[in-house]
Amino acid sequence: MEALSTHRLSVAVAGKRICHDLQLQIRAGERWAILGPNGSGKTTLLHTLAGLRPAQGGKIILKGHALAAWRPRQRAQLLGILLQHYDDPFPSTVLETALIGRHPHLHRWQWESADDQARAHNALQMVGLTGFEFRSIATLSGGERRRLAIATLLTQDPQIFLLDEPTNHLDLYHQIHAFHLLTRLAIQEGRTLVMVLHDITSAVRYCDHALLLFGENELLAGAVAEIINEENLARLYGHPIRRLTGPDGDVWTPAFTAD
Amino acid sequence: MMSSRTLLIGLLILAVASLGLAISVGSVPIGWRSLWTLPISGGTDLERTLILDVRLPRAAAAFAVGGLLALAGTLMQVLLRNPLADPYVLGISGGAAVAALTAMLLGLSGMGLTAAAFGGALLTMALVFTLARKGDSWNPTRLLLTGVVIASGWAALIGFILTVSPDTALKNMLFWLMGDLSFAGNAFSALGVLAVGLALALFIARDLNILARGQLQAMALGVATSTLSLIIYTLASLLTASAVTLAGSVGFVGLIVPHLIRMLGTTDHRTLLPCAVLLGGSLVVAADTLARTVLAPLQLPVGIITALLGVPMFLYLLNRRAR
Repeated sequence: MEALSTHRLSVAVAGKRICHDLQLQIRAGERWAILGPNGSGKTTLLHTLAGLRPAQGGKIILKGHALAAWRPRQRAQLLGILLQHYDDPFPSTVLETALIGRHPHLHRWQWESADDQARAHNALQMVGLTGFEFRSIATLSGGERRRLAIATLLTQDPQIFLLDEPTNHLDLYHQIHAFHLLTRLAIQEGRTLVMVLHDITSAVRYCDHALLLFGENELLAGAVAEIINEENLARLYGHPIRRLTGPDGDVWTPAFTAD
Repeated sequence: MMSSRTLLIGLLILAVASLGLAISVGSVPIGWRSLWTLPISGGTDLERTLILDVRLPRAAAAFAVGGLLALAGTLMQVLLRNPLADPYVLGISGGAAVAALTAMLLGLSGMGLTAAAFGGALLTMALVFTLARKGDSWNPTRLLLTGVVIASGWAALIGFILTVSPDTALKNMLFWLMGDLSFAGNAFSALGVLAVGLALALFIARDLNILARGQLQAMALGVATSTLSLIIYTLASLLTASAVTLAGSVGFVGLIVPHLIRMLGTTDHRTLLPCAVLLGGSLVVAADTLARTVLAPLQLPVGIITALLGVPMFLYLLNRRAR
């Protein structure tokens, strides 16, 4: 079943066209990687898919209905996004921050129930933040703040996860841990992942589909096995990319040569 | 950290105590005992007149002003995602002041003055809104810059009016600018505005929690941010206009009260908003009681006292928290 699809979608930012007439079918349970050089429009496209900014043309379809036709609260129950960056101008605790994920599930005068609290605690445990509940978010490290943002998204409990560089700021252990956590949601629970990534090895290992944004309105979408190859990647990044065989599968790395 | 419920109850007691203090203290002191038995015994004629016609309306006005400013300040800080924002940051008090001082210069007083102040506030509200908004989007930085620049423009006009005004008018003007409750008009309608404002703010309180974390995050969690921002802007502006119209620009309350509550550990707007109203109200009631008694029979503008009380209070809590 299709979770999210686009019909002749056109997206542009600051006069620069990112895609034109894009037809994309993302089925439930699929894991998509969005790859591309800086400024190719990965975040802009992700925000458009999340309904955070209007498209210049065409339609995005969420579970059979136009994204724009969904009531914001209903949309947020089905579709969640991990942003690239979070500002915290006001003090708050870790638990309060995770609990905001329940906002779309609560009615106007409803307070968070014991069940909502349990979901937040569970999400914090999944990202290894148990014991941090009453810490002020101002005291968290960059990686801990990132894991908290993932926990907030898990507390939101959507069917479709849009993730902008989910492993940004995370150490290597937590990167692998986060990828395992997310892929488990897709494989075991049929949730859909669309993530902007910079690491090709992770994209190949944890995703089954990829969208390559070359910039200048050129893109390529398809199964990872079909479109991830040295030739496409060299063209994508404007730099030769090498494929090495490692003990756990292929490792993709930039050629360590100057231009 | 104090729990939100404890804080709310403590602030309720503080509010009642500050009102009691305001009613009993003055040139004719009224003891707590006779205050307590007044509803039954009826008290003396002098006591009744003092309380019902003089002190209670003034204490009510002080409470309304403090509550309105604290509520408006909390809302502005969320709207602008800026902890330095206060009710006056978008120039509303400046607009009201220019209009009020012009009215004074023209010899108006009473209702004319009130109407002028309110008109000036509304004019600024419309001006900032029109100039700061691009299409349907709310950009906090653009809004803040527009407001600050317009406020500076009003400040220049205030300076001009003060310069060309006759010396006899200056003292009144100065009092108005610093915030003064001795000519406060109908306090009970302001309390009504405060009650309605608080109810409306509580209606959107959980949305405020989300918007405080950024526009994108709020949209992602299903908050209609454009509508919400418009509601906050309108509500905060009207609350500020009501406060300024009642007592001139009383400084500091709208800035520090929300922070004081946050420093005491309450950051959820569903409890932060009523706590801010109670603390803001109590602070101005206490400040006004001091303002009219410290150098009696000389009365001071209440704004001087709110700042003198607020500065050490704020610095103490800020430093206590840092340790």
